[in-house]
Amino acid sequence: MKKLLNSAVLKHILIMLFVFSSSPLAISQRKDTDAKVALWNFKKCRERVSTEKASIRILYAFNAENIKDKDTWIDEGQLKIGKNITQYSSRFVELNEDSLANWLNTHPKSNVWPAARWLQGYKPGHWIEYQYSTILTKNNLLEEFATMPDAIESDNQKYAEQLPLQDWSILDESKEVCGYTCRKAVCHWRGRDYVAWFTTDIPVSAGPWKFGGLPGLIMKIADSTNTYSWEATEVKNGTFPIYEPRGAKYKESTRKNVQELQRKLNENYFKTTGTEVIQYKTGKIMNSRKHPYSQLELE
Amino acid sequence: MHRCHFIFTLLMLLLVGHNLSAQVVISGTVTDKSGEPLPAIVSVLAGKSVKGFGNADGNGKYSISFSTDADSVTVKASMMGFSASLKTVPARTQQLDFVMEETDMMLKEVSVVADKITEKGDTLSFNVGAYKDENDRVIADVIKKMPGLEVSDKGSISFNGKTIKNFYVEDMDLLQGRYGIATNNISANDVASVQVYQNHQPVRALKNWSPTEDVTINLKLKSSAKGVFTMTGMVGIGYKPMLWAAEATGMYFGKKGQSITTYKGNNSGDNVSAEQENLTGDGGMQFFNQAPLGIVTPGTPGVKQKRYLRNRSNTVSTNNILKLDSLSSLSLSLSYVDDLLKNEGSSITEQYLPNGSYRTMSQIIETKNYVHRLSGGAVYKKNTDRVYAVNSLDVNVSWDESNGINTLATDFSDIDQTVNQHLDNPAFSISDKADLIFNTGNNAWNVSFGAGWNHRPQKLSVSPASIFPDKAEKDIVSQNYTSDDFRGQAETGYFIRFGELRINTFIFGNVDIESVKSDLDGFDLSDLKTVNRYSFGKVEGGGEARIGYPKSNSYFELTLPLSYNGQWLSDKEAGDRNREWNYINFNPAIKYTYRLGKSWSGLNASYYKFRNNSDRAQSGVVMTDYLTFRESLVEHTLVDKSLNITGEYHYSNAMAQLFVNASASWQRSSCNTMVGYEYDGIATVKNAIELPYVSNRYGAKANVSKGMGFWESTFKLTGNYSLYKSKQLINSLPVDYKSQYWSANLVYSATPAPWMGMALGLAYGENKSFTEINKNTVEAVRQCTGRLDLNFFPIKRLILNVAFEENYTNMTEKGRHTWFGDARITYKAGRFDWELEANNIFNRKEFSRVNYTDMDIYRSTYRLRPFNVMLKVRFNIL
Repeated sequence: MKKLLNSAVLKHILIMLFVFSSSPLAISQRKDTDAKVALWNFKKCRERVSTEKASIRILYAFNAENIKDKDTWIDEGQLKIGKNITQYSSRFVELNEDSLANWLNTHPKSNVWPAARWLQGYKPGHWIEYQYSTILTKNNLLEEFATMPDAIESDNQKYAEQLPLQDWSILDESKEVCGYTCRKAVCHWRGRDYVAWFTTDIPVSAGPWKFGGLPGLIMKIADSTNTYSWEATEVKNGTFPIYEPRGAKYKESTRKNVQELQRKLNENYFKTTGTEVIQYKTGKIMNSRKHPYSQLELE
Repeated sequence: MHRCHFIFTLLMLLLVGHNLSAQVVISGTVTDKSGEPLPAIVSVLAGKSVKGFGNADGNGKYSISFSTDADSVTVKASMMGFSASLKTVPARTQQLDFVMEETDMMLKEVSVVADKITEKGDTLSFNVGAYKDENDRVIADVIKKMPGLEVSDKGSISFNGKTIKNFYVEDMDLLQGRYGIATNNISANDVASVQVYQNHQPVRALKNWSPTEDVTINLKLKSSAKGVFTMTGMVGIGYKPMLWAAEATGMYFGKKGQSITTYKGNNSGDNVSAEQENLTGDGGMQFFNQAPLGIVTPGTPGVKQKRYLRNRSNTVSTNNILKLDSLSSLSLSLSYVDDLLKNEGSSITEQYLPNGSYRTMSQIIETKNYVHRLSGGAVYKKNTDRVYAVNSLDVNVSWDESNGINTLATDFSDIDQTVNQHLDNPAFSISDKADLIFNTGNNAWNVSFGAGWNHRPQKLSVSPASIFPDKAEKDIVSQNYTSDDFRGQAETGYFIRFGELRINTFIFGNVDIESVKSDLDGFDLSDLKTVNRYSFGKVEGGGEARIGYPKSNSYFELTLPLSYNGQWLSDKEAGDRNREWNYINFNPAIKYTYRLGKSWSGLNASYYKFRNNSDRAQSGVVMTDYLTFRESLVEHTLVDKSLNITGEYHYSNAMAQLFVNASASWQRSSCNTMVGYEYDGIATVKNAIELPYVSNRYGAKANVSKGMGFWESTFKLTGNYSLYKSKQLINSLPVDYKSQYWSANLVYSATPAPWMGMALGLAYGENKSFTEINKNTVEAVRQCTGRLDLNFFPIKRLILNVAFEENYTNMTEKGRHTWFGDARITYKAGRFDWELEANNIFNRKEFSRVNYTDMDIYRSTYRLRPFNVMLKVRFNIL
């Protein structure tokens, strides 16, 4: 028996129990870094190109403290499902670009342009990779187009990887999310345990961010520490243009390189971008403000 | 150890069980009717549980392996745009093909609706998006539809029965009470939420010293409205008569400062100067010196001002606030109003006589008021947890003039004559107030000073003087009246705690000197004086203790002010009248509030004894208008003792969007001086005699306001009742009378469809004044108004508005029902919004109204603006 106590299985169960019990105390990932949005990227909204139109759009609240108050959301994610392409991008960013494009049209002679005027949510001017990256899936291939913050906005990168990515176990539990009856599914993926709620009423094997591969659309998903969470807030039929990722040029890269850069930008923006900020009073070079950060993909 | 054994057994059972069930592979192809492969989702279900699933590949091929101990399974192929295909088959390895049928079934559309009102501590945030529709242009339009919030005709806002004390934009006090400028100019699209701060103490240093029920409103802007300078404009022309309107507004809301600059002008009936009014009532110093002269004008009718106001208005204002650091700011404001206001109408006044009958005077009235007003202010404010320091300077200059042409006829004399009146009415005032509070944590103290001067030289001329037969000496009768008021005030106090008790003691000193020079020229009143030249002063000094006792849910406060009050008269005309008076005053007050969950109730009681000799100061006759003469023959001190008791109840439930409040009040006043009227020809002579009497005023008010999900609607229901019992002296006879008033008011706004909005307003009111003699014969004035606004937005760029309004009054001889109609079309084309509006479609020419003032009945008829059409274009300049 003593031997069994030390067994790996039990250890795992105990860890799981600990993690689940502590989850209400965990705080979702906020964006309190010094990394700001690269405003120049927005101006490219004038050259936006739509290659395909989606017929369904699902909106998700990303890391919402209160699902009914958009000011507490880090982002409003949007999943556009087209015939060949499925795209996950930021609705807040798209609305900002729509407004800016409209503004540029009504002020054709203006030399200056307002930048992030129409951004919404918690700390609208700040950068976080989960808002400023676009995920495109097509023919079992997933591509991430990562837009970088101010100071290295020219260093935008992209990479591709294979789909499907999660190994799901479907459970018998069900509940309603955003008006749809959903079933529970769990998986362990790249260092985190996830609980997802999907609906077979929308027969699409997709979901927010990189999640998918279930026999129905993922309406709600969160990792066991609740650091990252998405919850559907709107399901809509219509015609939604799928825009090619913002900022035309993205350097070819790898998942490892992109994620390492994103992590460093969150941890110490000034150091990573080589920006020297000198404190006015002391003349010392400033470090970025520290904030708790834990990347989504741990492996 | 026992538990480990159990887990182990369970795990073993699971593993063994798994091995026992059969491994099955189901594979096949999915195609549409024409044989094209489909990348559908295929899932295998046994009862309720999913045994396995997978996607068909590019060739429509799928293969699912799973294990089950069930006899049969259901295989389901599903894909967007196709109806799901289900097949129940025996649970064994097999080939299973699907041919799917296309369908145009749409997904069920759902969206999580944001809470309309969110509550965090004492702050309620009303989500503007949840109450706004296409028709709402400025933020005031949206605030009107929010449950619990009320916007009066003047523009002042109240929340659940309490008038707001402060109005901020992004937590900055830009407008110093003139918040009509914000609510009427800030676009509804630029505001994220309207926040209501309940129990808000704006002085940070007094946060734990002085609990308050005051309400503050803060506009939280969208990030799109912050940090950018915007400029919008409007021009409009119309007919009939020739109409014009123009507006330009520049706004900036940044972290370091804010600014609003506006120009507004029109001759189309919009009272644009109204938004420059201070609505919180705490602007500059209050002066109480009299400016008694006026011309006889018709009162205000009960219809929208735009229907009757004949104007030519130009207003310019600029308001700026600069943050010196995070907790201190400097604000500067300047405004200029240039107005010409014309009124045309007629009135019939029935004056009550002690025998129960009335005497009647009728007038045809034409007036012109020229308003020129320049105001400026500067406020420095530092508001930290330890120190509060404010200095505010206010300067106002105005040079108003009025002309009136009245044609008078009466039923008691054979006068039928036109009277010309001219009034010069300039004014100048300057005041400065400084307030300093230090809070050390254990105690706090304050010092404040204020000083001001108000100068008002008025002159009224009336011609021809023949309307005053036997008395007039010249062709023109003129009255000069100049009054100057100097005020100074100083106060210092100390705040300390004894356990739970909070004690605020302070000493204060006030001085107020009013000097008056008046002269009635062209009149021969052999027995009476026509000249006044005097100064009347008051000085007050004393101490006050305010003891507060907060306990969990309740707060009790006792105010005990004790002061010395000295008054003196210095008459330059008759030195023998000079005198001094000395009094000791004690005017206590108590306040009690109790909170329970979502509701709070309050009880206020105060006693006030007021002794005043200012009425003794005036010894000469003053013509206040051509029909009224004020004659003071008072040779005694006015003593007025009053007791006020108010009870109030407030309930607010943000989740349910339900707000309820009710209040009741009683005021008992016992006074030793009765005001009376004496009729002498056409003139009414107002006088006062020493005759003690008691008056009682009872009032009750209730208000319910609720927002609903059905049609996104809001309803607000208000009821009012008041009864006033008093005495009046009419032709030297005291008459007991009662005035009674009640009203009910309903406002309902809704959005029945995405392309339509509506608002319905219904109001009913009844009032009458009567004495014991005529209580059975007096008819109550009943008034009823109904208004229906319908707004349509058939396409995004187009808004159609139609409004119908019905006004009913029971006591006019003709025109008891008056119907109005208005319509507007708005078309949004790029950066221009085109508006075509038609006002008074049924071309109503007159509006009549009846009301009681004390015992008299006024019937008035106003000439309205005729049917007119206006085209306006609104655009963004920057």
